[in-house]
Amino acid sequence: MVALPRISGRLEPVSSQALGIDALHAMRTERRKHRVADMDWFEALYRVYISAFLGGGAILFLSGLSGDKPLLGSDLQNVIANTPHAVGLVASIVVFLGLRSGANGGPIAVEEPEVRHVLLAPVPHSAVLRHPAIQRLRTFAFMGAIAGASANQLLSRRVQASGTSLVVWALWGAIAGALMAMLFVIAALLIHGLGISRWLTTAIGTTLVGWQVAVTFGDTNIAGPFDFIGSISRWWLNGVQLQDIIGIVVVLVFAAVAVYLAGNLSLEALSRRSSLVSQMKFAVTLQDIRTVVLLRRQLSQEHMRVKPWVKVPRIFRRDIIVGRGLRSLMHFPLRRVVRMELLTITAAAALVTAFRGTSPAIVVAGVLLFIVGLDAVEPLSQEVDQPDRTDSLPIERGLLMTKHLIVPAIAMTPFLLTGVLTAFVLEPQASTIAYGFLVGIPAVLAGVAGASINAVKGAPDPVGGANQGLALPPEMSGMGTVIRSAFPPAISIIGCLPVIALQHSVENGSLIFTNTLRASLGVLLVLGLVAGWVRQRDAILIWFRNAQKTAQTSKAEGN
Amino acid sequence: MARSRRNVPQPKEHSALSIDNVSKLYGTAPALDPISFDINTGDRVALIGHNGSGKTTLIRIAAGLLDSSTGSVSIGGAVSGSLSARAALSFIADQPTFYDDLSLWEHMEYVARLHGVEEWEQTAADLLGHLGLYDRADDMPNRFSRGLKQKSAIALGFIRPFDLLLVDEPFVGLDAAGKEALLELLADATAHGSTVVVATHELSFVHTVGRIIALRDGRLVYDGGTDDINVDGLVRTEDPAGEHDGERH
Repeated sequence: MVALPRISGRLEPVSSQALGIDALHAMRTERRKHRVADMDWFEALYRVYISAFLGGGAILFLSGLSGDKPLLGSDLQNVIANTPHAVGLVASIVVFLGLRSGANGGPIAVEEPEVRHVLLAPVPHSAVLRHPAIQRLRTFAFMGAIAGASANQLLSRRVQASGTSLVVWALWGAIAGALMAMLFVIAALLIHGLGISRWLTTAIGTTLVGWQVAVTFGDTNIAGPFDFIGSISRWWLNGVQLQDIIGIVVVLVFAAVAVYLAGNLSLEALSRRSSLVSQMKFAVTLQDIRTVVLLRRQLSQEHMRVKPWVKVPRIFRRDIIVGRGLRSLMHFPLRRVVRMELLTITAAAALVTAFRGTSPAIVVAGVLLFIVGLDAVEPLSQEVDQPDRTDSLPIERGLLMTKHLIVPAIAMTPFLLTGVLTAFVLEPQASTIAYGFLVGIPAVLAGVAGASINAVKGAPDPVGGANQGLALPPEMSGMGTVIRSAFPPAISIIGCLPVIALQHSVENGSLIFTNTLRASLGVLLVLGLVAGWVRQRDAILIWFRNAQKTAQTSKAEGN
Repeated sequence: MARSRRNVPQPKEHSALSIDNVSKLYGTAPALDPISFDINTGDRVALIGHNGSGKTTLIRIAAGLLDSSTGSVSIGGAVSGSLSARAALSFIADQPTFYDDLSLWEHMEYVARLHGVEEWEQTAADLLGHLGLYDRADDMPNRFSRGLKQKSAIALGFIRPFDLLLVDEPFVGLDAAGKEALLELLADATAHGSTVVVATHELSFVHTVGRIIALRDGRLVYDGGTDDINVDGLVRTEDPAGEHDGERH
């Protein structure tokens, strides 16, 4: 019989605690050594070099291409005056998202064995969880810094007489971006660590966003809670400001408190997130957006409503596929609908920004509408998720999937109206309504089209996936993967192009309606092709594979 | 079936495990109705119930891995999740998890030392030998088969000291030798005064316990001795015949 270690009758962990922490530190050091020893340093440095060189170079090159007109006179004064409020508004939304993440068990995800073996051991949780909390803060600060630096250097190209170098612009943007991203993690850690309920979290977040919205759009001299972040990004104008430094110090103090509270994080949340996050990371490496969407919903515990909003009337259920799609929408949870609305509002604001002269904003609008589309095409995605069932139905797969496009396209109507209303609030002229629809219709439909391509490309290959990509040489297959991943959001971005036509027509003062209409019709034509591709995808793939096989056979015979 | 309490020893001052009015809601869906019971030190208890009856939820709440919606759990008088409770409790989950980058032997060292056991090597060797894993000590458990993973998780559960052992479906995936080895380890633990609670359908274990706690649809339906008890009847779901009217929208 095994001689088991026992502590019956001795429940004081005093002596083991120090040993446990020692073991934790020793094993972390050992594992780090393993990782470092296994690392191919030359390969790692090469990757960093390539990422920095290509990433940085691409940002600078694309920024140089934007060719937007310089901001002068009242436009420049407008930007200078509104930057703190506008950037503060973005920061408030980031904080809101952080608060929600914390209420849903974020922002930390440790390895699953860490939960089972370490967090259930008599070792203080704070000793285990502070390290990942600091890591998360560091990672977010770095990503925020890159985003902030990119955005500010883009703006610097339109403020040509600032007298400040591009590097300094980027530096101030980087500080503002890092603080903003840190606020996400801080908010999440505080809410999770303090165990604040979801409804109270939403109330706090809504208050902060509401306050910032009020100072941004209202006629008031009151400062918003996050104005200091926008003010930091504007240091190129007046240099470093003392009150903003105080803001930075406050953020750092909150960061320290948040890290201190990391020991209070719920084991249930950590346990749930640990497996989901590792699956999500794997899905991201495979560019599997659908899996990422599904896992993200699980992480935020977003479940379909058990009781539908309304019963779908029999008349709408005559076509079983349309009826199935409508029933799916009726089970959408409120938070998903609200999220889709907020994303649409932000996309509309980005389109207005593009109309006002910052053309790259169409990328933001396109990506946001693509995300809205990913939710809207849920019935189609569900169908693709279950290929065995789909293929057992007595209906051609292409026809089935094309019919599944009808409901998401119709479902975008309320979001289109929200977008037009947002544009009208930002550009309060009667013509905004007409042009809002002219630009908005192709934009929202392109969001659905991009998401549909993303969903349908996950369906099984009609002739088996084993010979997929054989026509490409190995050197090209990586690029092929990138193109396949970028294509769906690219379609959504293309759907936003009519706003550029509108902007240029207004600038030139000629044929505004005609040019915008032409651009919109052009986009709708592309979307028609997408629908055709969904319908004929299997036939196209079969034709392509046969052509490949014929070419290979002829080549072999020629040899 | 009506809830009954028969042949249950009265709780001592500090029960090994005390469940007081514990319930669990997932969103608005109830997984566990309010449940209360005490388990005395040295008891050997089987937690039984059909799939989805709430066994895993209850055992995870007791282990501190799930937060209860109401009520409280204490282990040897210490609040579940506290350092004292974690020192006293060993939990073997139904789904074993391991680090990707540690061998089984390294796992054993890590878990033992996290619990303050400095002289762990002989016990680890004995445990791995007993479970037929000695030759696999240097392999990565994350790449093991289901059965070997289960044995590894059992070894990790026994390498550290405990007063209370909570085990969730430990017999799933084990071969006959593995089951026998586990039964011996569980018997040894109770022989040395530890309390053992096992969620299982394994009759060979259920017949050796002194007390059965049965759950059905999140409710406690039986808590008592094993005399003349139809275990199959306890784990069967009730068939609500005639409750469906066939109407759906």
